[in-house]
Amino acid sequence: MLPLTRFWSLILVLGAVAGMAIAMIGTHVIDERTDDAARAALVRDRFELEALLKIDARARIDAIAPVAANGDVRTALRTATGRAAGAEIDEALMTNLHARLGELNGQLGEMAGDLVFGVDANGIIVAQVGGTPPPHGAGLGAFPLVRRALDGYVRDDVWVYNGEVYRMAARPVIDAGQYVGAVVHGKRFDDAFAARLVTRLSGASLAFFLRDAVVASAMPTTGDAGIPRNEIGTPLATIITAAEWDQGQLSPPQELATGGVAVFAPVVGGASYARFGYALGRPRPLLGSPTAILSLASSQDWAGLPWPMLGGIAFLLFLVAMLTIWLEHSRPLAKFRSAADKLGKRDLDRFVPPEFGGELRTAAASINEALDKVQDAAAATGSRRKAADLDQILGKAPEASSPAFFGFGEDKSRPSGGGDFDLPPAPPAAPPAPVAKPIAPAAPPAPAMPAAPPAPVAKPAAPPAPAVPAPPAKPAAPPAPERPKLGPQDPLGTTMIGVGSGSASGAGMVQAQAIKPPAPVVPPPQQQSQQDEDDEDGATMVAKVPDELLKRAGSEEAEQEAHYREVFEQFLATKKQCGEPVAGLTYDKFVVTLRKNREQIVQKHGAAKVRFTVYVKEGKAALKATPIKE
Amino acid sequence: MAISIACVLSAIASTALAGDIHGTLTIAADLPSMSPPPATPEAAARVRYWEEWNGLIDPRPTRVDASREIAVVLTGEGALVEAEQPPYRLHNGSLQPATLVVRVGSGFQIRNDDGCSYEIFADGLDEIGPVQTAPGNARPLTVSAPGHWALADRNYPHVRGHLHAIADLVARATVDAAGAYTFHGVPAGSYVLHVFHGDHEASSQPVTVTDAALTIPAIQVQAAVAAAAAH
Repeated sequence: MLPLTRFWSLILVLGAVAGMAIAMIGTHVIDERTDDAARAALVRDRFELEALLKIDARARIDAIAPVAANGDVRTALRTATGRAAGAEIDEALMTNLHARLGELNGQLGEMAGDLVFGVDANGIIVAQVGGTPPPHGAGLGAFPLVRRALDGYVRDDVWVYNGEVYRMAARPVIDAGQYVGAVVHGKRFDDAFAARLVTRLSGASLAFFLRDAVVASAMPTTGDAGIPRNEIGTPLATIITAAEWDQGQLSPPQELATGGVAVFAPVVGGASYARFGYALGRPRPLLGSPTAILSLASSQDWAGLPWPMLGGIAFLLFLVAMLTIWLEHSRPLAKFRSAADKLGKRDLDRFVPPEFGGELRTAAASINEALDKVQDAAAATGSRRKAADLDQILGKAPEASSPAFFGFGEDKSRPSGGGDFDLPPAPPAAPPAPVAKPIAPAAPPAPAMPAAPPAPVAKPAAPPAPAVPAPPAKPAAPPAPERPKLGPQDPLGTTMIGVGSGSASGAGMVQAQAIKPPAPVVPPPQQQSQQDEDDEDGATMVAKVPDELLKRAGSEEAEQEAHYREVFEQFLATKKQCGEPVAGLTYDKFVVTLRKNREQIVQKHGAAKVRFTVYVKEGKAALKATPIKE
Repeated sequence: MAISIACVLSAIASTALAGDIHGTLTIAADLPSMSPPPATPEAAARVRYWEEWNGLIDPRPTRVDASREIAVVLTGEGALVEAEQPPYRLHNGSLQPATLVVRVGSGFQIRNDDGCSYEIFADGLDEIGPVQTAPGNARPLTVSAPGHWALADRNYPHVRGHLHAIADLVARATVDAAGAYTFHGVPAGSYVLHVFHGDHEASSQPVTVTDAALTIPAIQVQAAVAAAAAH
C-alpha cells in the first residue's frame, strides 16, 4: 500500500539525508579550507612582519645618520676616545653630549629613540639618553652591534636591556678620517609599535613576548576578532623550548583555546637568544555544525537567494506530497470510511476487501474476521448461558404486535388477513417448544376483531391439547385458496423477498414459499357438545379426534415442518451470503424459535397460520413472520 | 700572524719577601674568541637584518682581545694568596676575564660595572644560576667542588666565559692586553703554572718561586686542538 507515498517519502528521506551529508561535508570542507587559509595566511603574515621589521630597522639606521654625523657628537666622542688610558671621561663632556644627543634625538620625530647612546671607540658610554643612567665607565663595546659599529658598519639588532626589549640600530661616528665612536639607537617594543604593525597585517593579531610573558601585543581593529593577549601567550612555555626556536624557524601552527591558530618565531636579533619572539594569530571562524553557516550569512546573502525558484520548488514538492497523500491515503481512507458508515448503517454486512488496497484491504479483512469472531463468540456465549433462548438467535417475536402491524385491522383489503413482522437475526439457542400448537388453528381469532385479545385457547401457557380444538366464536372461514399477499408475487404466487448485500441489486433474491393455508378444522357439533360436557365434569379425558381432523392436522404439521425446513435452508443460505457466521445454527434450534414465534403470533393475533420469509435487513439475514388469518 | 711579546724583566733579589712573578704569553693568531661572530650566513641572518659598511672609510679589522679570555694561575701547596687578586667583572658588555679560575670553597665575586643587568649562570652548575646582577652590584659566588663549567648570560649571547674550580689554587695573575701577566705576593715554594683559555688548558708547567722575583719564559698559547696535540 501507499507505494507512491513510500516512494515519495524515500525520495524525501534520501533528499534530506543527502542534504545533511552535503551540509556536513560542506561544513567540514569549509572548516578545513578555513583552517588551511588561516595557516597559510599566518605564513604570509610572518613574511610580511619580517619585511616590516626589516624596513623598520633600515629606517632607524637611516634616521640616526644625522646624529652620527653631527659635529658636536663627533667632537665629543673624539675627545672621549682620545683621553688618556685609564682616565675617566670628563664630566662636562658627558653632560654636553647628553644634552646634544637628546636634542638630536628629539629632532627624529617618530623615529626618536627610547634609548640612545654615544660611545667612544672602545665602546665606553659617553652619554646616554633614556633609560637608567649607567655607572661611570660602563660600556657596550662587546655587544656585537656596537663592536661592528665601531669597526665601521651600520647594523641593527634587538636587545633585552634592563628588562625591556629594544629595536637597536648603530652607526659609526667618523671624525677626521677615524672611527671615534658610535651612536646606538633603540626603540622599545611596545603596544603602539605592535598596533602599527598590525594595521599592515590585514586581520592578524600580533604579540611580542619575552620567554613566557607577552610584552607587547595588538589586535586588528577591523574585520575578524583578534586573538587576545593572554590566549596567545598560552603555549609560549613549550614554544620557546622547541627545536625550531633555536633554528630560527617558524613554529608549527598552534591551535588556541578559543579556536584561533597562531605561529611563533624568534625575532631577528640577539634577543632571540633570550627567547624574545613574536606570535601571529588569526581566528578560524569554523562552522562546527551545518547550522552555524546560517549565522555567518549576511542580509545580503539572504537577499541574494533565488527565493521565487526556491519557493516554487518547495511548493512543487508540497503539491507532489499532497497528491501522493491524497491518492494513497485520503482517498482510500475516505472510501474505507464510507464503507464503514455503510457497515454501521447495515447497508453492508461486511467490508469488501478487494475494494481496498494495501493495508486497508488487510484491515477490512481483519475487521471482517473480527466481526465473525465476535458473532461466533456471542453465539457461543449465548448458547452457553441461555441455551434455550433462541429469541436471541433469531429474534424475539413482538410482544404486542398491533393489528396495524399485521395489517388486518386497517388493511381489510387483505382477505387472508395477516401482516408482517420482522424476526431479527440473532444467535441460535432455544429449547424445543411443544409441537402441539400446529393443531391450534382450530381457534383462530375472528377476522372482524383484529384488536381483540387472542382467544383463550391460544394461550401459550396452555398445555398442549393435541386433539381438542377450542370452540371458535364463529365458524372458521373456509380456507382461502389464494396465497397470502406477502409481497410482489411472481406468476406462480410466490413472494419475492430481497436478500441482497447492502446496495446489491436483485441478486440474492430468494423465493418465498407459497403459502398454502390449511383447511379449517371444524369439529362436529356433537363432538363439540360432548367435549363441553366433559369439560363441565372437570374430568380429564381424551376426546376422540376425528380422523379427518387428525389427517388434516398431520398434513398441516408436515406442511409446517417442510416450511420450517425450507425457511431454515433459506435463512442459512442468506446468512452465508451475508457473511454471517452459521456455526451453531442448527435446524433443531431454529425450528424451535420458529414454532415459538408462530405460537406467540397465533395467540396474539388470532392467525391461522404464520409464514416465515427470509430477507436481508441491514446486511444481515432476517426473518419475517406473516400471520395468515384463514 | 702570531703575536710575540717579549718582556725583559729585571730580577730583583730578595731573601725575605716573596717576589712577583712575571711572564708573557704569545697568543696565536688563530686563537678563537670565546664569543665568536656568526659562523654562517644563515646564522648571521638570524642576528640582524642589516650590517653594511658605512661607505666613508674602510672598516677596521675585527679585533679579538684574546688576552682578556686567558687566565694564568698557580696551583700548589698552601692557601690562596691573600694579596690583591684581579677582579672578575662584567664590563663593556663582556665578562672580564672570560676565563675564571677559582679555588674550591673560596668565595669570589663578579661585579657588574655596566649599565645593564646581567644574568650570568654556569651551565650545569646549580650553585651559579641565572641570577640578575644589577648595574653597579657584585654577585658573590662560591664553588664547592672542583670542575669546570661554561658561563653564559641569559640575555646576551655574546657574554661567554668558562669557570674552573681548582682545589689547590694559590694565585691568579693579572693579564693585560699585550699578554703580559704578573703574580703578586706568592709565597716561596713549588707550584704549577697553568694557562687556561676557555674550557681548555693551554699550558701547564712547574715553577719554583723563591723570595726573588721570577721571570717565566714566554708561553705560546694556541688553539685548543693544537694545544691538545702538543700535550
